[in-house]
Amino acid sequence: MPRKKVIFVACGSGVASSETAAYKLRNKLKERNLHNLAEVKVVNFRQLKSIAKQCDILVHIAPNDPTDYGVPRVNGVPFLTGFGLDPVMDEIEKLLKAE
Amino acid sequence: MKESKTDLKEELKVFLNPELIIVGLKAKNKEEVVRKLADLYLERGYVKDTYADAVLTREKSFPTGLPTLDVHVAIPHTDIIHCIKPGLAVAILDEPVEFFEMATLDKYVYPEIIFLLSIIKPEDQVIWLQRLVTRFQTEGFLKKLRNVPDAQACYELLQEELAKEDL
Repeated sequence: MPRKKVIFVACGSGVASSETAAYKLRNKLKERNLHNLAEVKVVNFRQLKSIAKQCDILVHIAPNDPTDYGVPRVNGVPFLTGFGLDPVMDEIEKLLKAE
Repeated sequence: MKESKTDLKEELKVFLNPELIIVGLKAKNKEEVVRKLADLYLERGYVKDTYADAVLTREKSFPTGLPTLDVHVAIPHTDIIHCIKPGLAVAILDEPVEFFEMATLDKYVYPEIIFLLSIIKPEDQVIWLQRLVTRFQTEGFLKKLRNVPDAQACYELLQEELAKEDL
């Protein structure tokens, strides 16, 4: 079994959008039976620069952030709108199952 | 869930308050909507006087408009240091106002319903936000909400929907 990966969900304040997206993400991971592969943590963008390397996948909810955090990024907005959620989950599933 | 159902019901009573709802608000722009709702919070001791400015500043770098099903919404909010009590203030607008779409600074959305959040402990309030967001994705919910006749009807609809178990 692949090792447990860390997913950071980040937004401006780490208060509402990212908490809500993370909640939804955890449910979706359970639905796909992927919850044993991942640990989901909420962070805010101020922390992100210094801690990004501690995660394997970054779910971001912030505009045009040009920073290269050195980890794969996916768009977190579909967790709040429901639109385009399946492709995002497919991408996360692929990243979680990758070596 | 660590809390019992009764606790959750009590919590929902604090979070939702008909006095924090404006139906048929005429506003020129998002600043006006946010300030009107923030005044309701401030008068009732939900937030500090720094709250409205903090929300609007945050909105500039981290927009909160969502291109939801049928009716666009926005969920402006800010850091917990500006908040005193958790709350969900709601404005149903006469005419949509312009917001940037979340995670962009170049795409517009035109929300007709604004949910201004006062969050003090994200891990406690996330249950309501999660349920609210799940309803955004439910056919017909936002249309129904936009068409409520008054604040009391809006409150009752939200209370009924948020009291439901997660889908």
